[in-house]
Amino acid sequence: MIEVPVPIRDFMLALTFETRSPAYLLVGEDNAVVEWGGNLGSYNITGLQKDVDVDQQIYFLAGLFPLEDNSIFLPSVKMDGGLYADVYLFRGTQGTWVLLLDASAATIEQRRLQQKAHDLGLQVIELERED
Amino acid sequence: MIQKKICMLGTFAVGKTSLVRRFVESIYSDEYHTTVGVKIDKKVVQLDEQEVMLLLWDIQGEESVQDLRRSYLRGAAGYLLVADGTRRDTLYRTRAIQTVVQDTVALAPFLLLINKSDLTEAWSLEEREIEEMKDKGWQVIRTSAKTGVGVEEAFLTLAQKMLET
Repeated sequence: MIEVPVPIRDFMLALTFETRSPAYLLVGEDNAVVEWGGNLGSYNITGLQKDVDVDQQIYFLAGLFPLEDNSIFLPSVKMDGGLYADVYLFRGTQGTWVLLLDASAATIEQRRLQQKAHDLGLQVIELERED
Repeated sequence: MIQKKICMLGTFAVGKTSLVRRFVESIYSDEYHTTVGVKIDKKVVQLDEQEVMLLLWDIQGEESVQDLRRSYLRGAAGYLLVADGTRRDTLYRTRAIQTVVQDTVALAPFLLLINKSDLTEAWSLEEREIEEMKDKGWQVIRTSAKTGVGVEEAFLTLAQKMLET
């Protein structure tokens, strides 16, 4: 990992908290939720229960546990409520950490560009069909 | 409740999102809105006298198979390959996608859906091409998210296959 001065690290951390609305949970080896925190509410994740299987509580995590790799990255997962989240899962000593970071701004911009590209592509297909 | 994850796969604008909306909400719109990342919907169905929650991962369609985000496929119990019957190249894309997907979810059952079956005048696939897919052992269902034809059949057929696996 790259070494950065403490002020840089602290700035990056503060920036993440300010712009990416981090939220997390810890899933134990038995696939039960152990702890959670951060802005889970902004991702419409509420009412979590300790020691209950994560599959039964957070549907987009169903089927991912136990983690087969050291980490998984799920970009731009659309949450209930409309936000997009980048979802990171990675192993820790106490279980698997799940980190959610708000990816809405980047995803919405990507969607705008992608929509244009696909609309253009479909127009070309339509023109070719008419020829 | 049993939960089963299904991934919707196919190149862009074949109707993956429309199929999910038809199945889950019984609605359809002619407007094309591209999907970015993944949107997950849920529907509870009754199979073999038990309730099964289907988790439908509607994954953005990629031009290139190399861009398919394999992490979205993790934990999938089955998948639906979707082609647009008015665009021949989308059918051949499903072959490439299936080759990549089976590396991640080798034993998961899947179906090939040939969507937009209501667009008979623009239909570009020959029967021979569809038979070739069946000859590979693929189960093929013609669907129309617009009219609803084949949609429920597709999802329930896959759900049944997933329970039997």
